[in-house]
Amino acid sequence: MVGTSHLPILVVLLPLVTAYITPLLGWIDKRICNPLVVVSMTLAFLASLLLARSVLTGGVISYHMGGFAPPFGIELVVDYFGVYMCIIISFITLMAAIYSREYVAKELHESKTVPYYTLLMLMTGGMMGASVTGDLFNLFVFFEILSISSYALVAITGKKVAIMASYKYLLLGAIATSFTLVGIAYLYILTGTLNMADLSVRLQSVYGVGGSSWTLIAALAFFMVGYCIKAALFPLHTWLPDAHSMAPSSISAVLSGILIKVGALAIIRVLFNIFQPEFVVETIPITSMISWMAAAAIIAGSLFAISQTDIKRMLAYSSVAHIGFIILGIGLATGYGTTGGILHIFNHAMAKGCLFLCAGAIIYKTGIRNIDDLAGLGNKMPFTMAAFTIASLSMIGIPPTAGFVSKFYLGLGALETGTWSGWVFIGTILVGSLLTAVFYMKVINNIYFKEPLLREDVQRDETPLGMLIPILILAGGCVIFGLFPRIPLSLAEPAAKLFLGGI
Amino acid sequence: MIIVSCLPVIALLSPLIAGIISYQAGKISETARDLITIAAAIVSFIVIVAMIPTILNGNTIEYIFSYSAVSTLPMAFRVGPFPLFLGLVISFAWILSAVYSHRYMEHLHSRNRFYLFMSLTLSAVIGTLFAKNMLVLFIFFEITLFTSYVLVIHEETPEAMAAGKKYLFLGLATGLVMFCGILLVYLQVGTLDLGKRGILDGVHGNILYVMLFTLLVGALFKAGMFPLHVWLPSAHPIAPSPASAILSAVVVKEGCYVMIRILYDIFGVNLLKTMFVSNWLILLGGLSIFFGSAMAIRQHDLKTMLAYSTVSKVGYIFLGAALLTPTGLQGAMVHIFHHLMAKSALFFCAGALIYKAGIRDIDQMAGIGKKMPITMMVFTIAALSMIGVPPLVGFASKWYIVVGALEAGRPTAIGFGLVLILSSLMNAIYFIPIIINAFFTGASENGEHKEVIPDDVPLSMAVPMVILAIGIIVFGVLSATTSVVVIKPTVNAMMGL
Amino acid sequence: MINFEFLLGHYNYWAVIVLFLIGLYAMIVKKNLIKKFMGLNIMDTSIFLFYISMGDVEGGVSPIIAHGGGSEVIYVNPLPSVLILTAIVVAVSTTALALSLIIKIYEEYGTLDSERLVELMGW
Repeated sequence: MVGTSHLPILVVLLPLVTAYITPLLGWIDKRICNPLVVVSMTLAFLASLLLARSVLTGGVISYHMGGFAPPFGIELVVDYFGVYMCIIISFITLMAAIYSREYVAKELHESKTVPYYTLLMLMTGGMMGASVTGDLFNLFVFFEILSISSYALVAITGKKVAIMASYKYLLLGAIATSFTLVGIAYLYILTGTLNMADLSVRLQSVYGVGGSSWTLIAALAFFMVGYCIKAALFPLHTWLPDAHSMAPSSISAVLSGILIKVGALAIIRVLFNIFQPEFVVETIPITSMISWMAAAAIIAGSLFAISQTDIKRMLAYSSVAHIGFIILGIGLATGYGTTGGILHIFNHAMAKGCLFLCAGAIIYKTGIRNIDDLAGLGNKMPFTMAAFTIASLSMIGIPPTAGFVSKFYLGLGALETGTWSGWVFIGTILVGSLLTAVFYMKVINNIYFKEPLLREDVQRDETPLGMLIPILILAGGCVIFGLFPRIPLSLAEPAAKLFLGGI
Repeated sequence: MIIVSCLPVIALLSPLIAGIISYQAGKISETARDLITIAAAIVSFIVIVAMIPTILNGNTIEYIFSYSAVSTLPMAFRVGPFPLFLGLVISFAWILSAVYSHRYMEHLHSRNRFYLFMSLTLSAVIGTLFAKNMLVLFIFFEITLFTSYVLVIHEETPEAMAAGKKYLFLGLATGLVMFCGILLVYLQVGTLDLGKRGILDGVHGNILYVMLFTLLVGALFKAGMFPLHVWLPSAHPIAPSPASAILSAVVVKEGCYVMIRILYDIFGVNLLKTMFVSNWLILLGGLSIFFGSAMAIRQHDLKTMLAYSTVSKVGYIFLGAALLTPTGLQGAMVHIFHHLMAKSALFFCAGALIYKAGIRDIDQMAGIGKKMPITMMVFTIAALSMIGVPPLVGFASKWYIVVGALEAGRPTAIGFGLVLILSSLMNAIYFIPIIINAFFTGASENGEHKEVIPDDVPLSMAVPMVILAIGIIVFGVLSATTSVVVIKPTVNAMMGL
Repeated sequence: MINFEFLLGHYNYWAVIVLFLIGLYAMIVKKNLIKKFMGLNIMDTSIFLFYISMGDVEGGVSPIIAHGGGSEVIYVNPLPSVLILTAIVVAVSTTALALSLIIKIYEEYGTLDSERLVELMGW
């Protein structure tokens, strides 16, 4: 069937083409942008689901762009992980797009509506492309598409602080770009190819050779630094708290929910698709190195988050901690651990997306950003705050929310290693989850159990329905996927198995 | 034989759904809300009663929600004799507590929230009881922590928030340690099923002790055992009295239940005997008994005193279970039953004193017996049962534990005998003066003798207290019968006899 | 014993390394935001040079098949140049964005000194 066979390119093209149509139609009427984006993302989401079905039944799909066979043509490889990311990306972007209709109308200047949607679609196109590409240089290009549009989106409010945050993000992002470019150059010199599958085959002959292994290590180092900056892994996270807290909340949800996960995706691709698991686990124990960095990220991110007073900054630091959970799972390189890391991408995207959208709703309705001023909101915006609470519990990892399931897998993965470092990691996971509880419970206590300063603060004044629906869907997802974790696991488990096939 | 039935799920869901409905109903009519809450507890109780014949015939009831939800673990419920027995008592206590709250809560704020979380807590506790495996148990165990947290901080005063913080974070921390233990067990044996009387076959070495320690930490915290009791004396008294009763009588029992399941269903009696940990666990129980009683003597606040008394009673339950003998376990179960009734009654009385006379302090209770005769009669009966005066239930439970200790061997029995005598003495030291003071001293603070007009609590508060007092007496007299009919089969099922 | 022939034979790599480090140095040390970004551009340029020099073949001609071509003609590797075209586009768009941000920053704060900006921001 023609329809299914072109799905891989469709999920990438849908947002990209929308990005080009949006300014044209927006020029005629600004109001058309939002429905256009929502429809396009709905289609992309459905296409991703169809793609998932065909991947689950028929295995990994390889799509040759323009009909040129790899390694000469550019290849799109849709494996379990790629389609898993596609579903998450299109879903969260869809939610953010629905939310944007009313949010953008109030929070952004009218003239920025069209650029906002254009950039959002460009960014989504970049993320979709990065998820399904099978070509290293292609990955780089898609990464740049998403990065540059995200720099612009951070600054789109035009506020002083936002511009500074964007510049900081841009500088670090540009360094990351340069580093990955050098890494690609090294691999190209060694093998003469850029196709990931081809690379992994050709690199096998290089592993043993003494001289080249230094080149390999250098390439790996450049890749790791570059993509760890993009993924905001501690201590390369410094751009994240400013950028994510200053961006419009719908964008923060996308940035924290999925964009940094694309960095994690790139790390996975480099570690497990290009290099062999034996090489990165045993020959050069890069996986254990990033695990230790991730453990540091969990603790440091949580500690930073505890000391924040601005709610969005707190959420941003919490992302630093949780990207640590994801990378830790990947770095453990055990069946349970990697499954847990991959699963946590999904669970964290839902929870953090929901939290940022809730924070946006709070700012939209009351203008409050300070955690101590949130008293009485439990009565004022009951549904929004209930969603906030559920998503917070998922972040802490309280059953029966989705966060618990990923914590379960990560914990099993840490113990599965059977080494002393595994005990350190499980300690880190547990302490990290306790520290997460400290700052989320502070917010929840303020919302529900603190006397508001003014009586009129508690008047019922709920978020508009258009913004509330995505919030509730995401919060519902946190519970549903905690009760039925089989759904994301059906993709996450084979993905992990495929990556660790060599071990 | 395993019978598939959705009854456990109904028992679990009815308070959950009713809680949400009652929250909305409470905005319109307070009475409707209270009635819905009571009705939900009654439905749970009836559903659990309906399971009795099946269980007594030697069957187990199962309901599988989803196969291999997390890894290979199913989300499922299973009801055996022990969960059923405890579920029955707990849901009954809940009905009384809900009835009692109707009048007690009318002067307090955020009543809708209180009822919502009371129902949610019942739901979570029933979920813990009916869990098929350790994972499901842990899920509901953690939910209970959060729902009961809201009950603890109900007053929203700084002291309540501080107590709540202590409860929540210690609970989370110990829960995480327990979680670590669950992961260890799962990784070693690949199952967490609770129906096999020991799943750790083939596991050797020190890892067993790590598992025992990590698993027990979570359970002992919830049970309020020494040295993890620190949250209990501050969290229980600060909650509204019906909630204190629930926390002390039920949530603490949930911890005891989990502890017994860990000892008897994860490890199993045979394995524990080869691990030689029984004596250490008994020592821990003894310390808890001793420490709780000693601290209770020093208190002036009635509810704090009762909270410390809970610490010591949990020690009995733990000790009985740790003896690893059938009679010891039987004693532990009777003690769970006894403490559930007596401690609820005592907290109800303490609540009645606050409600009617505004008294929290023991020293102010002089002559109150004349003013509130029903309340103080109930208090006396419950207190005597706590001390262990025959023919009340408290005596029966202590009796079984003594017999269990004798079965375990002479040194244990002697040690336990000493603890028992000492702690009963201490119990008497802190309960008897209150009773004497209440009945036989005139309220002569200012030297004037006024005519005392009995002014006791309203009917809806008096009835639950009286029912509990009658229960204490009746089950004390009939303890031989009940233990043969109910407790003995339960124990046999647990021990695999 | 230093192998001078090896060092001199790879002069193109030395140029790349020196340029890369100059760029990195400027990015870290310079306080002016524009200079910081110029440092980044120098870094990018060094990487472009790296790509192009690795694709070069001694005596090769540009890979355009003229007059039917022939097996004796040596072409340089075209792929790195093509890749670098894309990378240049990326770098140019990043630069454009950065410069527009810098203009905005100057309008809002009246300074481009990063230390002064940090003070103003309160970070």
